[in-house]
Amino acid sequence: MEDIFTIANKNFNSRLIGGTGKYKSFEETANAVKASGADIVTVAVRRVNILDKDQPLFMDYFDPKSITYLPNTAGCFNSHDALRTLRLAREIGGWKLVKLEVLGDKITLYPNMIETIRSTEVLVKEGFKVMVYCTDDPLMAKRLENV
Amino acid sequence: MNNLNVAKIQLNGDPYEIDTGTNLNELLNKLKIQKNKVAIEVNGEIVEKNKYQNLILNKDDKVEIVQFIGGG
Repeated sequence: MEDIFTIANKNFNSRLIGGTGKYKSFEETANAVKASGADIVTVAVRRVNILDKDQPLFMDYFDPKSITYLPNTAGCFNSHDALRTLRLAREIGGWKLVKLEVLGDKITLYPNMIETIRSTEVLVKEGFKVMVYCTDDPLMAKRLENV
Repeated sequence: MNNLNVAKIQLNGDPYEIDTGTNLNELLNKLKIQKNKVAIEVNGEIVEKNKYQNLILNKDDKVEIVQFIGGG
Protein backbone atom coordinates (compact mmCIF):
# COMPACT_ATOMS: atom_id res chain seq x y z
CA MET A 1 0.00 0.00 0.00
CA GLU A 2 1.33 3.40 -0.95
CA ASP A 3 1.77 5.63 2.08
CA ILE A 4 2.98 9.06 1.11
CA PHE A 5 3.93 11.59 3.78
CA THR A 6 3.51 15.17 2.59
CA ILE A 7 5.10 18.18 4.23
CA ALA A 8 5.12 21.63 2.63
CA ASN A 9 3.91 20.17 -0.69
CA LYS A 10 6.79 17.71 -0.83
CA ASN A 11 6.17 13.97 -0.78
CA PHE A 12 8.21 11.55 1.29
CA ASN A 13 8.17 7.77 1.35
CA SER A 14 8.99 7.57 5.06
CA ARG A 15 7.48 9.31 8.05
CA LEU A 16 10.71 8.96 9.92
CA ILE A 17 12.94 12.00 10.33
CA GLY A 18 16.48 10.94 11.10
CA GLY A 19 18.26 12.71 13.93
CA THR A 20 21.97 13.14 13.24
CA GLY A 21 23.44 14.21 16.58
CA LYS A 22 25.48 12.10 18.98
CA TYR A 23 26.84 9.63 16.45
CA LYS A 24 30.53 8.69 16.51
CA SER A 25 31.13 9.65 12.90
CA PHE A 26 29.35 10.84 9.77
CA GLU A 27 29.89 7.39 8.31
CA GLU A 28 28.00 5.81 11.20
CA THR A 29 25.27 8.45 10.88
CA ALA A 30 24.93 7.84 7.15
CA ASN A 31 24.72 4.07 7.65
CA ALA A 32 22.06 4.44 10.34
CA VAL A 33 19.95 6.83 8.26
CA LYS A 34 20.24 4.58 5.21
CA ALA A 35 19.16 1.55 7.24
CA SER A 36 16.21 3.47 8.72
CA GLY A 37 14.83 4.48 5.33
CA ALA A 38 14.35 8.09 6.46
CA ASP A 39 13.99 10.65 3.65
CA ILE A 40 14.67 13.60 5.93
CA VAL A 41 17.62 14.27 8.25
CA THR A 42 18.01 16.99 10.81
CA VAL A 43 21.05 19.23 10.44
CA ALA A 44 22.63 21.88 12.64
CA VAL A 45 24.66 24.92 11.65
CA ARG A 46 28.11 25.45 13.14
CA ARG A 47 31.34 27.29 12.48
CA VAL A 48 33.73 25.72 9.99
CA ASN A 49 36.90 24.56 11.71
CA ILE A 50 39.43 26.72 9.92
CA LEU A 51 42.44 25.07 11.53
CA ASP A 52 41.57 21.47 10.72
CA LYS A 53 40.75 21.32 7.03
CA ASP A 54 40.92 17.54 6.93
CA GLN A 55 37.79 17.19 9.04
CA PRO A 56 35.07 15.34 7.12
CA LEU A 57 32.04 17.34 5.99
CA PHE A 58 28.47 16.35 6.71
CA MET A 59 27.50 17.26 3.15
CA ASP A 60 29.96 14.71 1.76
CA TYR A 61 28.00 11.93 3.46
CA PHE A 62 24.44 13.04 2.71
CA ASP A 63 23.64 14.01 -0.86
CA PRO A 64 21.15 16.88 -0.60
CA LYS A 65 19.70 15.80 -3.94
CA SER A 66 18.60 12.45 -2.56
CA ILE A 67 17.78 13.29 1.07
CA THR A 68 16.01 16.33 2.48
CA TYR A 69 17.95 18.38 4.99
CA LEU A 70 15.91 19.74 7.89
CA PRO A 71 17.92 22.58 9.43
CA ASN A 72 17.01 23.00 13.08
CA THR A 73 17.67 25.36 15.95
CA ALA A 74 18.27 22.88 18.77
CA GLY A 75 20.07 24.69 21.56
CA CYS A 76 18.72 28.15 20.74
CA PHE A 77 17.17 29.97 23.68
CA ASN A 78 15.94 33.10 21.93
CA SER A 79 14.36 34.20 18.70
CA HIS A 80 17.44 36.11 17.53
CA ASP A 81 19.69 33.05 17.60
CA ALA A 82 17.05 30.80 16.06
CA LEU A 83 16.37 33.20 13.19
CA ARG A 84 20.08 33.67 12.55
CA THR A 85 20.65 29.92 12.43
CA LEU A 86 17.85 29.28 9.97
CA ARG A 87 18.75 32.20 7.73
CA LEU A 88 22.32 30.90 7.57
CA ALA A 89 21.02 27.42 6.77
CA ARG A 90 18.95 28.83 3.94
CA GLU A 91 21.98 30.65 2.59
CA ILE A 92 24.08 27.47 2.56
CA GLY A 93 21.77 25.83 0.10
CA GLY A 94 18.31 27.26 -0.14
CA TRP A 95 16.58 25.11 2.44
CA LYS A 96 13.24 26.55 3.47
CA LEU A 97 11.74 23.59 5.30
CA VAL A 98 13.06 24.00 8.83
CA LYS A 99 12.53 22.81 12.38
CA LEU A 100 12.18 25.64 14.85
CA GLU A 101 13.07 25.09 18.48
CA VAL A 102 13.32 27.99 20.89
CA LEU A 103 14.03 26.54 24.29
CA GLY A 104 12.88 28.06 27.53
CA ASP A 105 14.45 25.83 30.13
CA LYS A 106 17.83 24.15 30.16
CA ILE A 107 16.79 21.19 32.26
CA THR A 108 13.35 20.29 30.96
CA LEU A 109 14.04 21.67 27.44
CA TYR A 110 10.51 23.04 27.43
CA PRO A 111 9.97 25.51 24.59
CA ASN A 112 9.61 29.24 25.14
CA MET A 113 6.28 29.60 23.36
CA ILE A 114 6.29 33.40 23.23
CA GLU A 115 9.63 33.46 21.43
CA THR A 116 8.60 30.46 19.35
CA ILE A 117 5.47 32.20 18.05
CA ARG A 118 7.38 35.42 17.35
CA SER A 119 10.04 33.48 15.46
CA THR A 120 7.45 31.55 13.48
CA GLU A 121 5.75 34.78 12.40
CA VAL A 122 9.02 36.17 11.08
CA LEU A 123 10.06 32.95 9.36
CA VAL A 124 6.71 32.48 7.61
CA LYS A 125 6.89 36.07 6.32
CA GLU A 126 10.35 35.26 4.93
CA GLY A 127 9.00 32.24 3.07
CA PHE A 128 10.17 29.47 5.37
CA LYS A 129 8.09 26.32 5.88
CA VAL A 130 8.27 25.88 9.63
CA MET A 131 7.93 22.69 11.67
CA VAL A 132 7.58 23.89 15.23
CA TYR A 133 8.69 22.34 18.50
CA CYS A 134 5.89 23.40 20.83
CA THR A 135 3.99 22.54 23.97
CA ASP A 136 0.85 20.41 23.74
CA ASP A 137 -1.37 23.38 24.59
CA PRO A 138 -4.10 23.31 21.89
CA LEU A 139 -4.57 27.09 22.04
CA MET A 140 -0.89 27.65 21.33
CA ALA A 141 -1.03 25.08 18.56
CA LYS A 142 -4.00 26.91 17.02
CA ARG A 143 -2.13 30.19 17.27
CA LEU A 144 0.82 28.64 15.48
CA GLU A 145 -1.42 27.17 12.81
CA ASN A 146 -2.87 30.61 12.16
CA VAL A 147 0.51 32.27 11.64
CA MET B 1 56.14 47.98 11.56
CA ASN B 2 52.76 47.27 10.01
CA ASN B 3 52.69 45.53 6.67
CA LEU B 4 50.41 47.64 4.49
CA ASN B 5 49.66 44.70 2.20
CA VAL B 6 48.18 42.67 5.02
CA ALA B 7 44.94 43.21 6.93
CA LYS B 8 43.95 41.50 10.13
CA ILE B 9 40.37 40.25 10.39
CA GLN B 10 38.48 38.10 12.89
CA LEU B 11 37.70 34.76 11.27
CA ASN B 12 35.36 32.49 13.22
CA GLY B 13 36.42 34.23 16.39
CA ASP B 14 40.19 34.11 15.83
CA PRO B 15 42.59 36.67 14.37
CA TYR B 16 43.45 35.94 10.75
CA GLU B 17 45.64 37.76 8.24
CA ILE B 18 44.60 38.33 4.65
CA ASP B 19 46.12 40.24 1.77
CA THR B 20 44.65 43.71 1.42
CA GLY B 21 41.85 43.68 -1.15
CA THR B 22 40.85 40.05 -0.60
CA ASN B 23 37.25 39.29 -1.51
CA LEU B 24 35.15 36.47 -0.07
CA ASN B 25 35.70 34.14 -3.04
CA GLU B 26 39.45 34.56 -2.63
CA LEU B 27 39.21 33.95 1.10
CA LEU B 28 37.32 30.69 0.50
CA ASN B 29 39.84 29.61 -2.14
CA LYS B 30 42.68 30.29 0.26
CA LEU B 31 40.92 28.23 2.93
CA LYS B 32 40.10 25.49 0.38
CA ILE B 33 36.41 25.73 1.26
CA GLN B 34 33.71 25.13 -1.38
CA LYS B 35 31.21 27.94 -1.36
CA ASN B 36 28.21 25.70 -2.00
CA LYS B 37 28.78 24.07 1.40
CA VAL B 38 28.92 27.16 3.59
CA ALA B 39 27.24 30.41 4.49
CA ILE B 40 29.15 33.54 5.42
CA GLU B 41 28.37 36.45 7.71
CA VAL B 42 30.43 39.62 7.64
CA ASN B 43 29.97 41.89 10.64
CA GLY B 44 26.74 40.11 11.53
CA GLU B 45 25.16 40.35 8.07
CA ILE B 46 24.64 37.27 5.90
CA VAL B 47 26.27 37.70 2.50
CA GLU B 48 24.55 36.14 -0.51
CA LYS B 49 26.81 33.89 -2.55
CA ASN B 50 26.50 36.03 -5.68
CA LYS B 51 28.03 38.93 -3.74
CA TYR B 52 31.20 37.13 -2.60
CA GLN B 53 33.23 38.38 -5.55
CA ASN B 54 32.47 42.02 -4.89
CA LEU B 55 32.73 41.98 -1.12
CA ILE B 56 36.24 43.17 -0.32
CA LEU B 57 37.23 42.51 3.26
CA ASN B 58 38.48 45.33 5.44
CA LYS B 59 40.70 45.45 8.50
CA ASP B 60 38.87 44.32 11.67
CA ASP B 61 35.95 42.77 9.76
CA LYS B 62 34.32 39.95 11.68
CA VAL B 63 33.81 36.99 9.35
CA GLU B 64 31.86 33.88 10.28
CA ILE B 65 31.89 30.86 7.99
CA VAL B 66 29.39 28.15 8.91
CA GLN B 67 28.47 24.73 7.57
CA PHE B 68 26.08 21.90 8.32
CA ILE B 69 26.93 19.32 10.92
CA GLY B 70 24.90 16.54 12.47
CA GLY B 71 22.50 17.59 15.20
CA GLY B 72 18.95 18.16 16.29
